[in-house]
Amino acid sequence: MKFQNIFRTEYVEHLRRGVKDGSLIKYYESDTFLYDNEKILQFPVEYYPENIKLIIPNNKSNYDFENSKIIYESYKSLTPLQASDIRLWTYLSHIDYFEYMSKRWPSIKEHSAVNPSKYILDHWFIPSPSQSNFLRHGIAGLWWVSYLTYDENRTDHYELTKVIYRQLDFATRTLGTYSLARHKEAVFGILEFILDNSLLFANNFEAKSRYITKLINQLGGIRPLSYFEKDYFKGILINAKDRIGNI
Amino acid sequence: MKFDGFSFPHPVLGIKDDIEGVSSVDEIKLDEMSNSDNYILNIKYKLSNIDLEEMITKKSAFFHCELNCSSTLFRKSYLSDTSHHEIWIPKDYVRDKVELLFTLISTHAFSNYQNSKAHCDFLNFKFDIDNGDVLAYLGKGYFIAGISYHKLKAVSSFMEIEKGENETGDYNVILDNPKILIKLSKNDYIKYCDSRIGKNRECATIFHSSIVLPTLIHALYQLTINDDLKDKSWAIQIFNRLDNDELFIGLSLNEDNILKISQLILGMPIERLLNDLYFQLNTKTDTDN
Repeated sequence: MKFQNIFRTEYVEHLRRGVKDGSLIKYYESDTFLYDNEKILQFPVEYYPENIKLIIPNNKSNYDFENSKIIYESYKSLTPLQASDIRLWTYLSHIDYFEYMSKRWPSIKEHSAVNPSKYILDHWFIPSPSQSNFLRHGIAGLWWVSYLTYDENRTDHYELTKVIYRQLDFATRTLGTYSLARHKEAVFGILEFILDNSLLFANNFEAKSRYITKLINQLGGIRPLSYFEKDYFKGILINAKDRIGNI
Repeated sequence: MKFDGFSFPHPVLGIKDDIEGVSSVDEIKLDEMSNSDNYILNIKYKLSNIDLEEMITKKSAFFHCELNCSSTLFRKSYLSDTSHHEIWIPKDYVRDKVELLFTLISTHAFSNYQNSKAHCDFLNFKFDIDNGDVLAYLGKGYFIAGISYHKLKAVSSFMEIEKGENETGDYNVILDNPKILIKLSKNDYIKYCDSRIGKNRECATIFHSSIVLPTLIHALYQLTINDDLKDKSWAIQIFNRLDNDELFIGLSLNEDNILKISQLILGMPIERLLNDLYFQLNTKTDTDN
């Protein structure tokens, strides 16, 4: 087995600069990404997972949930420290999963991006290791969302991952961007509440999910959320059911 | 949680003049070196308020430290029933800035809370306290995770010492192996394994300078002339370190840089050894006087 490849730091910076100044944007319009083979390193702690294929998005679905599961299963042994290495995700988004990236974020190939540089930088690159940057990245986001929602105590470990992907923004712009998302018990409590109350969330999912995330976040202003377990958060939301239903 | 300019629904020690007393953090000490897998955080709290101290004694209130790391999405609570709090944080779970928030929290729900040293504005008021409510704010802090961890991890992850074949005289280095192997003679190895020597931190600079440094220099030189070694785990570790650590910006592995790179990887062992010896000599001289 060989080790996973990653880009060298200097090469990541070189690519980023080329996207910023526009000189490399044309590379993102191709079917494969042309890169300098001399700028590859081996990642010493992770073996290269072989024969991994992400599901290519189509008109019916982006397959975010399915691909999140595939990426997390393929790189499950990563520690959070290893998973915060931006060289790894930059390599994966440019090389191993470039075809998927081009289809999932097609505005460059379709020439429809208002700001092509920003579009590429948002989805192919991670400017610095941080929660919002990871979740916005096309491949890192898939891994980290599964990491935050994977529940080994459930028969289907990804049951809550499916809930968070019910609405695209929920993972990347709502729940995922609050620091409460770093506390797994809070995430489990919120997602389990949604799962248990499917009728309640049958309509206005976006507004309701924003409301409950804000509600829990506000609690964090007076109590240290990381102290509490899943049932505490579920209890708060159960008590707020009427208010949620009125949205 | 924000505490500046914030008022809670009940009096909180450390917030404005809600309650008379002292609540602060006296000391935060980070130990990065003694454990290869964990940072050890030692915190000393200072709290002076008779009612809250009684709650701590009765174990209905605990000192609480919340860790928050945005770079690795790590957020966790740690409780202590004494003013000395030792926290072990896995090094694989944090990097860069790790924020700390210190409070005293209630671990029970109860009614009719009053504090005998509360501001007169709270006189005659009684409050319902929930499990997890903040009773005192002690402060906040942070530490930077990462640099020393890599230094420590770098050596043990790619080099190890073993017993050689002969009774005396051996000092052999095996590079055709996942880790760089240093083989000492059987007699030397027995002495190395003596806990007063091998596990003694005071001897670390001697080992780094006399055994580890020359071995690393040899390994790095071989790496520049033998392509077959580049796929070894120890070589991959070293290349990764050279690429990822700011210390090595502008330095590439070639014959001219081997000595400098070896010293940097090991945290300047010659300097550390001479500093230790100098300190020991000066201490001895003072004692004699």
